[in-house]
Amino acid sequence: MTAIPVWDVLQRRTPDADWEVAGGIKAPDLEMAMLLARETHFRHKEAPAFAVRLRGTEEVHPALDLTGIGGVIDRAYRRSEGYAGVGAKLKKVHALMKERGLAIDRPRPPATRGRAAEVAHG
Amino acid sequence: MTYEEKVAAFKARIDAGEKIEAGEWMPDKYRQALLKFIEMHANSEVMGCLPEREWIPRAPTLKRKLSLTAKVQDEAGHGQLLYRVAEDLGKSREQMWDDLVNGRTKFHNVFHYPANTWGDVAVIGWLIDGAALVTQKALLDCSYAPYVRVMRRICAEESVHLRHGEDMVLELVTGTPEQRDLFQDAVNRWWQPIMHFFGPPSKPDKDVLLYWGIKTRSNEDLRQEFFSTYVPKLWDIGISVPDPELRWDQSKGEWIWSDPDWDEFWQVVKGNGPMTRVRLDHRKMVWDHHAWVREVFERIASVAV
Repeated sequence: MTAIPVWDVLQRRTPDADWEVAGGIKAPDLEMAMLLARETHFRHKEAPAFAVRLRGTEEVHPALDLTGIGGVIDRAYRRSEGYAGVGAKLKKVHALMKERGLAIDRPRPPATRGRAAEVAHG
Repeated sequence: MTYEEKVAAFKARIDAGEKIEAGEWMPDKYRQALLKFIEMHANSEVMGCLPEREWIPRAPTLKRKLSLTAKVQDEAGHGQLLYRVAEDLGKSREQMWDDLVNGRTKFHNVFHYPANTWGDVAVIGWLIDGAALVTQKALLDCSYAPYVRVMRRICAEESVHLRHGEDMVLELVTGTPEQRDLFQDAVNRWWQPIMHFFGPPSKPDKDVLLYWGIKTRSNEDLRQEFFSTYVPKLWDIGISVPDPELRWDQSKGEWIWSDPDWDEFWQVVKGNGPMTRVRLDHRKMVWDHHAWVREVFERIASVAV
């Protein structure tokens, strides 16, 4: 059996930026490498351009067809903008629960502590 | 340079905040600890698909079905990305998969439990993904660069999942009394596994992952951050936490909590959880069923490139 080769996945952060390594995939040939790279690394519109490079070689193969990065139909549910307003909704629900006497008012740390949910997207 | 001198120089690089790239020389102990850690992370991502996958056909609306499907795809994708990183550390994906489905390697405790109701899906989407994000965000400072690159992507996607989970929770708690009860019941059942998720309090000076800069924060530190982020939100929406000792101690500046049943934790991570066998059998069935796809890929590789 022949080992399936490893391809570096490259991206440009902006249209004019240099290529940088975004990750890697295993694929038997260039066509499959392109397809896997697009689906595994760019389905959320992570970058405006991408390419693959067979590991250990210099030749960069840019994706020529960039239409459809992130999907060709509306798939906002895959991205953060699909959930815009959830933070505000939490505040509204808190006010509602307070009104109903259901909110639990106990000592808590200052609001700045622990902001795991605020990780920047991208 | 002796082996010991090379190890000391390597450790000095990590202590100075340098990142290690794939293919660079690394001490055996570093490689082993890193591989074990990333392999378990990858295993957890692919096993973590299963509790939610079971709910895709039963999602209450088309919108939720689409979101849940996309989320499960993301988790499977995380597994793919992480196995790729782990492979560069010297273990083949096939071997990692074989070890997983045959119970020789571990995956996170929370994925050994059943998801009985839609309330469980909401808990997984908000609190378990929230706990995961707290721990994963801390890995952005890991000493191994390929892992950090993958974690950036994973954290971004997890933050979307978290929003989706929070949205589901807010819908349940503002719904009928039965819907609120459904979520409260799920929180009651999942709280102990969530406490287990962070692991028992460990001694930072004895933690090999902290020593090598693979992890940069202790179990307890991460658990405290989870409390600070999520407990006030739960209280705000009128959901109680099933730990009578849990309280914020202003004078100590930390949360006081009571120890969960650690015996159950050890039983679960050793592969004796309520759903361990069922989920591993499912993964093994899929692995065996798709063997022909791997064979086709290998044949293409032998004539291509």
